[in-house]
Amino acid sequence: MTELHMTRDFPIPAERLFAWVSRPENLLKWWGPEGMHVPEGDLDFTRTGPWYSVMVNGDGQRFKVSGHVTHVSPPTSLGFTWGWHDNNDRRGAESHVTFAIAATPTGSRLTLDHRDLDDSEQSERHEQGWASTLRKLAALLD
Amino acid sequence: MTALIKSFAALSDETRLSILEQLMQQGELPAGALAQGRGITAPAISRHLKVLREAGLVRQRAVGTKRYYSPNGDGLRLIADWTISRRTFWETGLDRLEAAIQKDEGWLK
Repeated sequence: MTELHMTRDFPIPAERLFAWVSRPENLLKWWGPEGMHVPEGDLDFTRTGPWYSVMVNGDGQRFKVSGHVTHVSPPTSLGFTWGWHDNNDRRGAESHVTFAIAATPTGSRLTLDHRDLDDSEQSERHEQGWASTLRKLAALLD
Repeated sequence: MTALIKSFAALSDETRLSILEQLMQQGELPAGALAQGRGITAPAISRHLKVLREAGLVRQRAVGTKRYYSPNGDGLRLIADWTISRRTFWETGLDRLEAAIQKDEGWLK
């Protein structure tokens, strides 16, 4: 229903394109719409784990989005969850983004998918979250 | 966000989705015209319209005892903004990515 799918071709090798969409210093050069800047964030898709970014537009409005990097497989794909925060910093519905990169005769192609999680994925993710929290807790108690 | 969930919940029903589609295509209609061709009773159609109204997707206008229904632009815009904003975010982001790669990698289109 709310699936977003787009592709874009670039005349650079897949490895370089992967660096452009995963490394913090590169992400900051293109993250978000024109006119937005990212004064605050942890935008690193080279590793799994939490990420977030706060974007500010020309009017000083803040937009915060956060999630979890779920997989990183250079140079072919990476994925992360996505949730906007409201003005009270409450995180909204979670969706999932993947960047897939494939070599083409002239360089490489980026395929971007942004889709909503269905209920089973949501609950599975929550269970995973709880499982890892419990593992950490168990480690502390050892 | 709650408003969006309400909208989608209201539209997750074949009859209600088709009612809204008809109103979007034909403009304001009385409840009777909406019941026609659907093979459902007047009370059933008014229940559906009530759900659509409460979700902010349909407006009601009373003329005497007659009720007229039309699409509620505000509710529809909410859905449009929500779907477009995701597309806009990535589309403009990819434009910037392309520009940044052109600049840094010395590639001219």
